[in-house]
Amino acid sequence: MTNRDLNHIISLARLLHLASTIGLIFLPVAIGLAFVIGEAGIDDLRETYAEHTLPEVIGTGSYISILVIQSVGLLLTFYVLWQMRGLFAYYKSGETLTARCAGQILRIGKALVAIGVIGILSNTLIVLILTWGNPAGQRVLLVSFNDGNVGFILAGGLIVVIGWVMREAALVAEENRGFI
Amino acid sequence: MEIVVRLDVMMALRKMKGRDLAARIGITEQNLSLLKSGKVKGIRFETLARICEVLECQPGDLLEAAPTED
Repeated sequence: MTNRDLNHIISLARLLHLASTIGLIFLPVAIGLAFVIGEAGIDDLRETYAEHTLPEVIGTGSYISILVIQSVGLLLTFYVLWQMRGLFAYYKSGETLTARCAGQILRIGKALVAIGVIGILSNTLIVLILTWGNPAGQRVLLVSFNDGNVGFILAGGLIVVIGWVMREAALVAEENRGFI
Repeated sequence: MEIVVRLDVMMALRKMKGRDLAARIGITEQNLSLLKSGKVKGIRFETLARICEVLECQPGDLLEAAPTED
């Protein structure tokens, strides 16, 4: 790798490190703000899932269960940002082809796949919980996925494969460093 | 068998200092020191050729296969 290429990586990594740090701060603040201004209440759930027949009363237990399910995806997003921040920290210090960087890439990819899968599962569970209070015959077991979920799974899978390749590349680079 | 690096012998014969040789073959003094002590996994043909050119010798003058010491 030439010095010019490395300088490009370092300068872009500095920018992306800052962006992922901002994301890590912004994400919990935005979630907290949604609760403060009342955009994450039961009425908002009704609005989001208006296409389904929902019972008159959505209990607090159901609401909390849904919040817990939704928080899994958010925690995974937080985890991805954290791992990205770590990866860009290595890159901005000039460390690129190492096992540590490959490990970060692998974790990011796996977490993105998990976000896609959780996205599909959580939608099924949330709709089931919301319609559970309906009379028998009006409860909904919905299995659906949108292009966002598929996108996360494909992008995550791609990054996992790149992570494996980078791990091999890191081994070769390590071997190469032993040669003069 | 193990490969023993005889670079220091050849440098002494040619009265070449480590700093000068490192500069002429384009590697750091630290790497040259590692090479002299044999604490490397290998040497690139490119590096070997440059050393041979500067020290006016053959690869066999720099490397020797010796029985492994137990």
